[in-house]
Amino acid sequence: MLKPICLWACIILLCTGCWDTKEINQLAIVNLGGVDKNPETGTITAYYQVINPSGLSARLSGGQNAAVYTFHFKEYSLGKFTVKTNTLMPRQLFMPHMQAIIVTERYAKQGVLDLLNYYELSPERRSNIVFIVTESPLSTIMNSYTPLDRIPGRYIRSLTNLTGQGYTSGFEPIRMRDMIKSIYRRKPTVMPTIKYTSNRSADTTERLEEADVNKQSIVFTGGAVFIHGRMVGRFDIPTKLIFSLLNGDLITYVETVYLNGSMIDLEARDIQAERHWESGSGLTMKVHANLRVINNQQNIVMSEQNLHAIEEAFNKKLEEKAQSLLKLARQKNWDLLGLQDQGVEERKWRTFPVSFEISSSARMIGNTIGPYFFEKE
Amino acid sequence: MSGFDPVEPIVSEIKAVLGHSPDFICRKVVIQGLSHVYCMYLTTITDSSVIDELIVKPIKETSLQDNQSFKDSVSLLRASIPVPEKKQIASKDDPVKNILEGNCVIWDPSSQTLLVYCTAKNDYRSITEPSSEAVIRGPREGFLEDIESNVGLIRKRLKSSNLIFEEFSIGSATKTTIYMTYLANVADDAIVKEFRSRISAVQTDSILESAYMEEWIQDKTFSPFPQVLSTERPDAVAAKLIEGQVAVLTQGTPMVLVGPLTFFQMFSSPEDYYQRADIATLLRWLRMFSFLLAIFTPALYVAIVSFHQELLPTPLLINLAAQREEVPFPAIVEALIMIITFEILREAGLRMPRIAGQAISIVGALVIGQAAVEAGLVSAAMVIVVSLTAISNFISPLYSFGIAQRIIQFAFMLLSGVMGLFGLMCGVFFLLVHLVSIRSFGVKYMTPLAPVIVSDWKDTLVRIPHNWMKRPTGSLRTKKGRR
Repeated sequence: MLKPICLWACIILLCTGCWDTKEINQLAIVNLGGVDKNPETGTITAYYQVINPSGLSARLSGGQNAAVYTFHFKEYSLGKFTVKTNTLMPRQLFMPHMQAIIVTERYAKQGVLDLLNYYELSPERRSNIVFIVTESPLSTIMNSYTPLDRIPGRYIRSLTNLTGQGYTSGFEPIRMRDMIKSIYRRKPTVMPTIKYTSNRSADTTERLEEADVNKQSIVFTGGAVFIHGRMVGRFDIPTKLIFSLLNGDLITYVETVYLNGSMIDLEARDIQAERHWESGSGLTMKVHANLRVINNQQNIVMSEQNLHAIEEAFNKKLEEKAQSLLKLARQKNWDLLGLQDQGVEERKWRTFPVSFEISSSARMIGNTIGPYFFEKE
Repeated sequence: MSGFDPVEPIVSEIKAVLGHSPDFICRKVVIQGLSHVYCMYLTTITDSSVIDELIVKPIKETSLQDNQSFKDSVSLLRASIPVPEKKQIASKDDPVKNILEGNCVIWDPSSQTLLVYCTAKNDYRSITEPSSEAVIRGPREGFLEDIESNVGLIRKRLKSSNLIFEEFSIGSATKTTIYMTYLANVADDAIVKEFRSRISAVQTDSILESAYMEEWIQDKTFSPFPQVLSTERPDAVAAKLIEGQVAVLTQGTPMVLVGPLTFFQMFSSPEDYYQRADIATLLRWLRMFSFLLAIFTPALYVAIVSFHQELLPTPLLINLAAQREEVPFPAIVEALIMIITFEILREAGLRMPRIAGQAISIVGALVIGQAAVEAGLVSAAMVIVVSLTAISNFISPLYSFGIAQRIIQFAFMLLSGVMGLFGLMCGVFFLLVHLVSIRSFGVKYMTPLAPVIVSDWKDTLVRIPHNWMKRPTGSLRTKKGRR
């Protein structure tokens, strides 16, 4: 009698695994999340953009159904949202496939430490998602369909993957985990900012029939500067690039210089930013870049002298930008070069001498050694 | 002339022992009216023309007067009958055994002697290509049901005086002839001794196929894995004998057992040695990969779809979710339905007459194909999983290994269905523990990986060119140092 009971007990023990089962078609696969926090009431609004698999499958739907549905919930505490979703969402919330999280500017300015802590505690959530700050209302962004890629989360992720190609590690350090890693550092973390090009959200699939993408679309505007998890200001895109370049993250970018009254576009490659600490003279940042002329509007035949002149112009331009960033850092009290993280005292870093030595070597590749032009008669 | 003389007690006794069988014949043959002998045989298993022409006729035509030089009638009979005599026997138990083997037993009442002549029928099919082990390049000969022919097929390939055949007669009812064969100058004595003792220890009433012997001599009864290689190919047996292995031939079956067998030998095919080494190596790796596919694909699918969706790339997750939208069953049930259906079709395909095979193919294609998907019973991905598993399963050169894969595949699938990847990992560990615990005639089953014998990798994990294979495999402890 004992043997069959033991056997049944063993089999039932095996079945405990079934408690964790979640069938794939019972999941609400969240692809994009959004959070806003009202500074006055403390109410948190969470948006979940859930994928509709059959809407995405052309075979099942003819390709016209909604690809995503957006749910939003309000609560006072982040931990209650998972339970709260059961009041409206007919499927189990499934967060591991979330591509990006968008927070409002007002929430970012209050500090997002609570959100970071919540993500770190939750095994269901991943911190390698792209962290974005929106300048437009969150509801407009979250309730809009996107062209080409019908899943907005993937649309944003694709855009950020493309921008990441010029970076050392192959991706821009804009994930939530990048912010978490630098949470105790004095150097600010710069996360991308976006806005919506229209006041009205594109909340039906009719938007996908329109050819004018710019009319209603998500666009990247620059960077939000975070120090210790709190947004303290903004960068435009060029400033963000120089910030990344001087901190050794960026290795490729395009710069425009003017020479002989004409515009020249240069692709700076293999950028190496090295720091040399010298007692007494402070920090010298040596930056070297290989330049490739990608657009030359000069009305002269390219020569070695001209290439050197281009190099000089680039060096000068980059040094100006670097000095400008240093000035901004001192002015705003943002340690953009991370001097304090490298041992400079808090009270001295603003006056700490920093100099830049920029060098470059230009090359011209193309079918012609100079542009086609006609002498003015 | 036919019939038997009731006054001869030995004839009566034999008749009684054989249960008055209607095919038992006892012919009284008179030698020139002076003497007589009795010819006893079973008509169903003897060649009547041999008996008539080469035994009865010469005896009848013998003249005692003309052969005065012979000192007795036995000598005279021996001189008269052109069929080679098998033996002379004395006791009364032996004639029955000999008669049952298809021999003709001659009883000479005058000298009270029994002579045995080989007159067994040789109604065996001709040598054909083995159906279960087809090759593109290589010999087309396969073993037969006749053990003597099989011995010939091996001897034809191994012209060595060291090729030893030891005979056993096993089965109280079948008295099946078993030959144990090995190359005395190569095979390890301990392995040969082990084979000999295991075959001698078999106590059974019947051996109708080599599988009976396999069950008796294998090391571990409760294991899905074959511990002895069974093959229809004489070239494969010859190759194994050269490597120092021992073969067991069974009367009445074309399947010959070869041992010891290790796990990685099951990935090699005789054809590996008939083509370029690099191609053979790639094919061997393909078989190993297919083994992994066969046992893991359905289990991984069930585990990931039911427990670990986060492991999937998002586009694949969306596709799978879209396919499973309308499927009413959990993934494990879906997988079980599909795989059991496929197993039924496969079994039906094997057992059904060949002419009905086409019908099975059509029904099979409908059942586990598009129709099942369109009916919403299973997802399209599941069809791919089952197809991939089934095809991978067929790649195994050894049919019994393919069956083992099916058993493991089901076990893994059930474990994945209840415990996800954790269950699957438990299954993998159990499997590894089981595999390393198996011995085949004293040789560790996972050799040369556990224990590691790097020198043996040349013909297990890869197949190096023949001219580099200077030494035989170390795991078999062969006598010869060089090949």
